[in-house]
Formats: sequence, structure tokens, C-alpha cells
Amino acid sequence: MGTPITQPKLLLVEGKDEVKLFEKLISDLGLVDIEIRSVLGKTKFRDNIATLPRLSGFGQVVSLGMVRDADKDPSGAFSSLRDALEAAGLPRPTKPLQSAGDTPKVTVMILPDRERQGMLEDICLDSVREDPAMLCVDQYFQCLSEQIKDLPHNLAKARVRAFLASMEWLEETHFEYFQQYLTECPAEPSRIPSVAKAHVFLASRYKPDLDLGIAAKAGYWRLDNPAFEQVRQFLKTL
Amino acid sequence: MYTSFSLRNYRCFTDMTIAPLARINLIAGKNNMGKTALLEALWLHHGYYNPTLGPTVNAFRGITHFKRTEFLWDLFSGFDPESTIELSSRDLENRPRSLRITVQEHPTSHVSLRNGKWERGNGNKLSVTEMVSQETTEPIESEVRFDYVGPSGKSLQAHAFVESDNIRFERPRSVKEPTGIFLATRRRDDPEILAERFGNLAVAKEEDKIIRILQIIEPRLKSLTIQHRGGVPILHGEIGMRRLMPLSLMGDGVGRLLGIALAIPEAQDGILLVDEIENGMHYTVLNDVWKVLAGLAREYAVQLFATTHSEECIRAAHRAFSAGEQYDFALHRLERVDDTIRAITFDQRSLEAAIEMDAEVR
Repeated sequence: MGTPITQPKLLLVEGKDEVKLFEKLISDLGLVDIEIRSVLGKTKFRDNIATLPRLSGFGQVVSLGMVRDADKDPSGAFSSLRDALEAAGLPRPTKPLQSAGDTPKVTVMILPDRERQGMLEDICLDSVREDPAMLCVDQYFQCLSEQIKDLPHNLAKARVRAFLASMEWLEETHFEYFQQYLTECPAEPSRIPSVAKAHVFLASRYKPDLDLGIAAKAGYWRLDNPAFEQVRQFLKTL
Repeated sequence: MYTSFSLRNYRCFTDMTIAPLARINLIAGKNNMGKTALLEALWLHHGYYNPTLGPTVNAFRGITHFKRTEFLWDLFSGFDPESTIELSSRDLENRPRSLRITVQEHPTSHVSLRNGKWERGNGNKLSVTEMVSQETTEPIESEVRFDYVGPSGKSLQAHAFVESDNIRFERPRSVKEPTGIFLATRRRDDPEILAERFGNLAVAKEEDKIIRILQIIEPRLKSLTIQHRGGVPILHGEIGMRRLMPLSLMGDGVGRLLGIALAIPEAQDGILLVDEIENGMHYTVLNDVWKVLAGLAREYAVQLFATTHSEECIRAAHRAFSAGEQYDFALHRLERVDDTIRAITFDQRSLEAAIEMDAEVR
């Protein structure tokens, strides 16, 4: 069910992944008065911004921030947000990271930055550039480009997926984090190669960021393969 | 059909406009934001020729007693009888209609009949509106006047006079306007009225549409008939039991939906006002309920205004209209800003966006 805006600072991001990441960042910074909302996709930004002034609690917002991926056109991404702000009657910054207006003050951030093409995933990958797993990720995609024709349409997302798959081999520091934040966590770290490999495989697909189940619906898993025969028989006997 | 409605000095409203209005309008907001008062104002405006609506909206709230010298003062903002209640609207052709309600500073001290015209007791002649009665020389203790100006500029007046032991209502004759019906939350629908409305549909051989609507909540219902109990006609339903079941025993949801479904044909070309529309209805039926009410409202050209506290009701309405042939629905949230109530209107896109953002819209 819907919740009113209760904090004086509101951050709009593209999707649920961004919500989780920014929650962590905000918590690490010790900031307590920022509320994050997702627009569920960059195409929804305009409608969602237009709706903001109607929402319960928006009248108390003193600072509004927005984060959007640059994708292939960082200045186009910024302009589209400016247009949406104008249509909503809200202050429009002239540049990314420069605030405009008050009550609310509005600030826009384009990722990875105002000049480069890319997205949040690129900043994530930059942050682990020195991780040994990234060497394997690079080699994996080099191998993929030699072996298959249709590479993932979004290489940054694919590389993130492959890197995260390496995290399935849980290091101790990461395990402590999982204990804190995950509702289901094993009692001790364990290596789960099947899960890691499944994620790495999915990272090679055209849409590399699909959940395991949705990947099945997309046809990425061969459900008619003999590997699934017992499961098919089980369902038929129900 | 109303496209906008403005209120000044009515109950909790100092100055508010609600627009754009759709065929189906849901009014939401926290407690004491004026949701019911807004319905009352629409009803008063629509029934401008009928001064009995003034005390009736009070009766809906359980207020049936008053001081004679303060009759209907509680309709005025701040109970200030010196202010003027202004209710105005625009329709699809952008034509204005306005109703002003005032307490007369110098109520007629007495009236007497002379030569077929009403005269003030002090000798000043009133311009004659309509002469509706040739009786009474009772002293008038207070007077509330309803001044209406229609789209063509034509004006009409109605009056409510408080006399020593009587309230006398004076209304213009020969006014032909579509019906406005108010379904208050506190009152159960009068069984005789329900029976009559159902009977009207049965005479037109249209009773099946009511049965199909009620089957949303009570799938066992096969037919409806009117049976008399102690001389009073009561609607009964056949649901496969040993005997027919009075509809009032079938639960609040059936009663609520029946009241609304029977009111719509009665209010053809007019308005229907429903307070707390979702009362008694399980959330799982709301989607289908909205679909049928929308269809019925369009068929009979009725404009519906309803209040709700329920987010499920709002979301169900949005889903039903989004999936339908036409999105003629709007949500209006009333909220207080700097001591003034204002209306915030959501259309399809903004309501969709609000729901996607998991935002509170009530």
C-alpha cells in the first residue's frame, strides 16, 4: 500500500536496484532525513515528476534529488529531466550537480557523470577495478566474444552480473554483511558453485540481468532438455 | 455534467475549486478535510430550487434540532451568518451556474396577503417571484435565502422561513431539473424507496441488470421480488434457501451496492452522491463493482461523486477504468494547506505514476 512522503529530502532513482544501493550509501554517510523513491524505469521519469506535487507530504520536501543513467546521451538525459521539471512547475537546474530553487531545492545527477556515456553499473565496476575477480570477468567476456555471436546488449550489466557471481564464493567480510541484511542466510560461509555458474551463464545472454525464473520464461534455460525430465514427470503426476 | 465546482464559505471551505471533474469522481482525504461537506455542497447546488435540502444535509449528520434564530447558521463558514455561501459550477459547454445562500439581515417581520402579492409588513413591496401559498400571517423569526443564477442568466429564488412553530419553505414552481440523489453513510436506504426504484426498473423489464450487479457480491442470487411485510414493500432475493431472503439480511455490501445501483437510473442525467462508497464491500469485488457502476453511470448519463477512505477502492477504480473502454474517472484528494482546504486532482497518468512510486494518494 502507498506511503506518504515523510522526510524533508526526497531522492528519485530509476529502479529498485538503485533504491538498495542508495539506501546503503545514505546509511554509510549517516544521513537520516532522505527518502528514496523509484520511478520504475527511466521512461517513467516524466510522469512521475509531474505527479510529485500531488503526493501527500510533498509540500514539506525542502530538497529534491534525481539520479538518472546517461546511457548513450548524457546531455540528452539531463535535458529530459529539465523538461519534466518544467512541466511539473518545479525549479530547473542549469547543470547536473548544480541546485536550483528552494522549497524544494532541486539537484540532478547523471551517471556515471555529465560527460560520459554509461550507467550506475559502470561506477560499480570502476569501484572494483582492482578486485582479482575482475581479471576473470574480463577474460570471460573476451572468451564469449570469440565463442558466441550475440553478445549481451548491455555489457556493463553483464559484467556486473558476472562479477557478482564471483561473490557467491563468500568472503568473510561479505558474509558478515549478508548476515546483517539478508533475511535468509546460511549459518556459515559456503561455496555454492552452481549458483555462481548459473549467474555467470546468464551474464552471457542478450538480456544479462534477468532473474533465474524470468530467464526461464525468456527461454534462456532449455526446459525441454533431458536435465528437466524428472521435474516434468513430477508435474505430470500431480 | 459538471466540469468544475467552486465553494466559498460553506462549512469548512473558505475558498476552493475542484477541477477538472470526470463522470466518476472519488474524493479522498484525511478525517475532517470536508469530504462529506463537499458532497453536501454539490447536492445543494444541484437542487438549488429546493430549500429543504439545507436542513436535510444537517439531518444526515444527526442534527435535527436548532435554535430558531440560528437556523442553518452551521452551513456557513465559522457559523458566520453575515457571510455568503457561494457555490458555482461550469458544465461541458463552460456555462456558469451559481447558488448564493444568505441569512437575511432583516427577515420579513410578517407577511400578509393583499391582492395576490406578498408584501413586507413595513409596507415595502417585494418583487414577486412565485406565490406558492395564500396562507399565514405568522411572524417570521429568521429567513435563509437561496439565490440561483442559471446558464442563461435567469435567476430564481427559494426561501426557508422560520416561524414561531413552523419552518416554511418557499420554492419556485415549474422547475424541471434532473434528479440529484445523496446516499449518506449513516442512513440505511428506506426499504420502500428501494422497492419503488426496483419496481420502476421491473416495469421497464430491466430488473435483470440489477440482479447481475448484485451477483458480483452474492453469486447465489437468482432473482429479486417485492414482498409485503406489515404492509411495507420489501425486496427479497432468491438465493436457493428454504425461503426468500430479505435483502437487508444479506449483508451491508449487498445493501450498499443495491442502493447505488437503483439510484443511478433514478438520477438519470443528474448526479449521485455517495458517502464512503466502499462500505461493506470486500476488496476482491471492488474491481468488478467499479466496472458495472461505470457502465451504469454512462448508460444513464449520471455523474457520480463518492468519498472513500480506502486505498484498495482507489486502486480498484484505477485498474477498472484503465482496463475499460474509457477512463472517465478522477481522484481528488482534499488536504489542508495553511489553514485552507484545497483539492488535488489525479488523472490517469498521475494516478498511475503515484501508484508506481508507492505513494500515498488518500
